[in-house]
Amino acid sequence: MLFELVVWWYGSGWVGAWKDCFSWVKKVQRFFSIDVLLGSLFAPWKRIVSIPGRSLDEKFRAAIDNLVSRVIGFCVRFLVLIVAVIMVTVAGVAGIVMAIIWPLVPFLAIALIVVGFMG
Amino acid sequence: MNLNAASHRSKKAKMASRFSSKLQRSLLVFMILLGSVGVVIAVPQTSRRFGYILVGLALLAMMPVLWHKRDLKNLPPRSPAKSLDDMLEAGLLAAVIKTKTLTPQSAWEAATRQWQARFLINHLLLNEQEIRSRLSDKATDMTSVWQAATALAFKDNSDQLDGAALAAGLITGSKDAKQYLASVNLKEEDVIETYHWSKRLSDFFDQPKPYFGGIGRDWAAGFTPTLDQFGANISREIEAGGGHFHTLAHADILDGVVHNLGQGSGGVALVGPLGVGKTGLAFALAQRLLEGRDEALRYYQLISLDASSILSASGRELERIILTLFGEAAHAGNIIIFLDEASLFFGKGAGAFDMSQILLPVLQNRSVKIIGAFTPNDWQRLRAENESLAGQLAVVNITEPDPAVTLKIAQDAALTLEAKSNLLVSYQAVTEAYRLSGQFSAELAYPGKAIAMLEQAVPYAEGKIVTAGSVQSAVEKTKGVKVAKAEAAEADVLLHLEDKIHQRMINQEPAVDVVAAALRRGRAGVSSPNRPTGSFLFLGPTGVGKTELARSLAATYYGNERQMIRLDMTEYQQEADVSRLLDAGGEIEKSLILSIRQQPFSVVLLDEVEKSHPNILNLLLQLLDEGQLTDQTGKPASFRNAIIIATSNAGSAEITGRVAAGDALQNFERPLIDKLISQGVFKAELVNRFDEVVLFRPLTEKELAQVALLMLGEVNKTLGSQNVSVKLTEQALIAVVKAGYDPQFGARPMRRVIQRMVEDAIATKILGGQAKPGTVITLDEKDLAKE
Repeated sequence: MLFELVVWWYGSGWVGAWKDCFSWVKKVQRFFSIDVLLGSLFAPWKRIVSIPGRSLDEKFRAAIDNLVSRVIGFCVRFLVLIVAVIMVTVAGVAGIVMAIIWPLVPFLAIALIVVGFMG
Repeated sequence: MNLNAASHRSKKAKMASRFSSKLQRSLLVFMILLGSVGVVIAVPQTSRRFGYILVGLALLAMMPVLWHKRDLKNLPPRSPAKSLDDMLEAGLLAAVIKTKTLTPQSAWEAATRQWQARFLINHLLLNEQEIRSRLSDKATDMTSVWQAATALAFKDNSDQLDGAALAAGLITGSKDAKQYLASVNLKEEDVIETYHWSKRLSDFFDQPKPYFGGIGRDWAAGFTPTLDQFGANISREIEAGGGHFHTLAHADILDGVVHNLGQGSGGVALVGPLGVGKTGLAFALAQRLLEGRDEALRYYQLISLDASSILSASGRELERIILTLFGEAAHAGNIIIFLDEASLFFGKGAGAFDMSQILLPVLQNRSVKIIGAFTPNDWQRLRAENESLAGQLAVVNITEPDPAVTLKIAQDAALTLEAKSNLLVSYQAVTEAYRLSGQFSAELAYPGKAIAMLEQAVPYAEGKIVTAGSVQSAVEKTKGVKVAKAEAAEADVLLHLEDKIHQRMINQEPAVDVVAAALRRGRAGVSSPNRPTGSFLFLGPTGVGKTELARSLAATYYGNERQMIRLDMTEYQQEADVSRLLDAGGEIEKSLILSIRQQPFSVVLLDEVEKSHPNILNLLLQLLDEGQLTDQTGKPASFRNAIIIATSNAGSAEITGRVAAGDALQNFERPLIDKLISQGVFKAELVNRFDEVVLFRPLTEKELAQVALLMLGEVNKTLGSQNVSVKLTEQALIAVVKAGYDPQFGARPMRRVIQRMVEDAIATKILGGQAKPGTVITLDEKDLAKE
């Protein structure tokens, strides 16, 4: 059983650890639906828009309202996008780190135990 | 194919089986505990060494946990399979290779430890031990079992062989086990069908969790507070449930709906009878849009408007709400409005309102996508009344799925029902619901009627199981009909039906015999379920027992004389009378449709049928052929549980004459019928559609005396409460018979004569104090009251 565990750990287990980097990134990206956020980055917040009236004043006011709505939408989405990018980076880096230290884990475990006993 | 217990996959499966859930939990707790304690105590210098040891141990514990989670737990089948161990589901593989000598008996034990096999056993209500005892204990017999099981899996396009496939292979591959199946009224096909059922559920569990979009999805759409208040968001419902488990009957139709909506069509009309799956299609559409596969409709939400809550508002408020609803949907930009029972939104009657004036511009400028569910008649009405609105909707016709798909849908719905009610719905219950709903729920289409019947059966669950008996009980309680197999006492009644009828009826043996035989066929399930229980044309003179036989049938078969719908067809001689007969909302007594809906289990007596309008006779053709009629609104009414009796006096003069001349009925029965057809009294196609044409002959004097005695029996029954009875001397009986017989009306005047001559005489004696309790009044000819 131990042999099979070791074979898996340095075989498909390690390959899986690398694959995990991508799946974690994908999960985070899906959670934030980054494609949708980017696609609607400059869209008015919750599609709240004013219909321009006939007079210049009304048209101007509607344009301001819509601009405000778009700015709010942009701010919220941009902030979330920043958080998403950070999370994607963290997930990616964590995945890579995990994949790198993966083959070292058995040695690390034994080393820690030995160091612990030896002092 | 061989089973290689030493293969890599077999070894892995064996190892995976050692990781019991208890061991997994222990390792996980051990790992977390040691790891966190180790990290904490590794910080201070004094306990650092101990901390290192704990963290090291935690890392070691983590390795088998990860191994099990990422590898052992999910052992996919190897494709293409070279041996059985490549195909067997991991849990089953481990159980099988652990067995020393694999025989059908030990394989059964291994299979029944898997949930898939348990699903099959439980849903078929099989006795696990009984089957085990009937299986062989020879290892050589496993070859045919594997062949049967792999054939099943391949037929299902599956490269995996699970517990249910093995269990099904074991049962269907054993002669003794199949005998057991037959003893519990199951067939090989039922086992195979249940295997496919379990496989669908297994596939649903195995599929990756669907992705319905992240947090940015809803921010791209507008607010919908009013829609949320007056509608039910189907998409959110599906999202909350993590998907919608169902068999889709109309995949091609769904493609059409998506295409229509995606191509910019403002609306789609789903047209199909009630229960055909229009709402189910809306759910399937909602799931598909959530999955985001269709770019033009990606992440669209399907909201079903609730007509009753909208209607709670009135007048201007109602108009304002409807405008707001469509305004919000247009503004949100990701809403498809679903109008279930769309006729409620375009109607004029009670419980409905008309929003076509608001909807038309919405559809014309394509600002909101709309799906309406219509019955064919509602759709036709909308087209007739508002062509411009109907023209804006792309029509998608939905028809009943074929029986095999219907059963699959009902099975999948049964699992949802199980989850809701915490009961087990057996395979037999599903098939019985399918069968009985076809017979007793003509107002709905498949698969809806089968599912509705299963739901009705839930309160009649036996223990925690909905069985075929539960479905039968539900039908018996809700429809007032006996559908379970005839019990001993009832079977006795059916077997001796002729005797029971003759307790009320004198002579006319041929008529009684054919009617009794038809009833026995109906009750034993031999006759066609798509036609009336029986249909008869009674020919003969007046007063010979035609109506009495119909009444006796109602009393004997349906339990009550009042279970009879009697229509005097002389009242339906005009063309306009056809609509009265099919009226869905008028006088119950005059409308055949309303009467049968109220009393579906009845004798329908159509007196003097030949006098009705030819169009009514044409309707009768449909009724006898299909067992149903359609009312003026297009809804069917079933006559499949009724006995149809049409009576006629046509040919009675000839019957009387030839019987008087000593001719037997059977000698001139066929020539007489042919003569009536050639004279144009009846159409040949009508006569041929009746199960039997029965000739009634005039009653002899002796039989009339028996009729009189029967009626006297009824009088005695009434007098029973006063403990008085009455007897007629021979002379008195002759006098009554003489007075009660009329050459034109047969025995019809007899009841009136008994009333006047006998009952009046008794009344006089009772009032005169001559009839004290316990007295038997004997009436002689002179005692009878004058006619």
